[in-house]
Amino acid sequence: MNALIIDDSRAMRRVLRRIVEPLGFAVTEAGDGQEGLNQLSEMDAVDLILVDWNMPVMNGIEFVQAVRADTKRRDLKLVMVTTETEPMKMARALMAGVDEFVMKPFTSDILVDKLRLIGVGSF
Amino acid sequence: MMYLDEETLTQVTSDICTTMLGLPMYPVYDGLVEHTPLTAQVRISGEWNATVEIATTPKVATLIAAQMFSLDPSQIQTADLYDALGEVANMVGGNVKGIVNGELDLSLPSVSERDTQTAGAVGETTVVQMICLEGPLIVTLSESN
Repeated sequence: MNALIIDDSRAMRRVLRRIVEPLGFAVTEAGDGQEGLNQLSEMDAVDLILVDWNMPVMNGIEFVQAVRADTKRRDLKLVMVTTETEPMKMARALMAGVDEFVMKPFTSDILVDKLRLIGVGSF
Repeated sequence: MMYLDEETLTQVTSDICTTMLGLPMYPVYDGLVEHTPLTAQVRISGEWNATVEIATTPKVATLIAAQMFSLDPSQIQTADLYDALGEVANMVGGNVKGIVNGELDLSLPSVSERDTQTAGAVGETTVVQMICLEGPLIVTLSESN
């Protein structure tokens, strides 16, 4: 299984990597949405994307919209990891094609439960 | 615009440190005398402008980074300290932004080796002092232009 982690915070990328690698994911990292799109275009198969909302260059929503615009990527599981809690913003993210949210701060159990909820992996 | 009192700011910070990092943290009300030369800052801007600063010692920042990255403290490099403290500021700022609500943006965190500075504050300032891993962690929320 392959996971793409997109966050401008190197710290958060490391935290997320530490959680998903033991679940069997091979992890690729990107520091913003545009870099994420570039990485995605070079990956043969992606099972999961964990993406931050607030990032420079291209934010998480713009990234999700770009991914969902590609019909080949419609089934890809997208989880937004964010501090955003405003209902209108969350609704906007869901409309854009986010499958699930993980609110910062979170525990590894919370993230793993969310992945189970959207049917990623068999852990 | 709603403003955060000391109790709420303490709760936000404590939740982040205990939930995400598993670190015990408790507030101190009598004033800390220890120097806190490492500061991470994020700015909230939009309908309401404010700065959130997290100040601590290199020792506490090292232990936070070790916990965040599951490394031994001896393996922590300076860049790790900055990353970890910046991420704590980012999460505190993000949660403050969520509580205040409104059309607001959060800046990327910046970390520097200096004490907390609230010179740009023009309105309410809330300061909470906590003990985290036997050392000080000071959170300052200050309204700004």
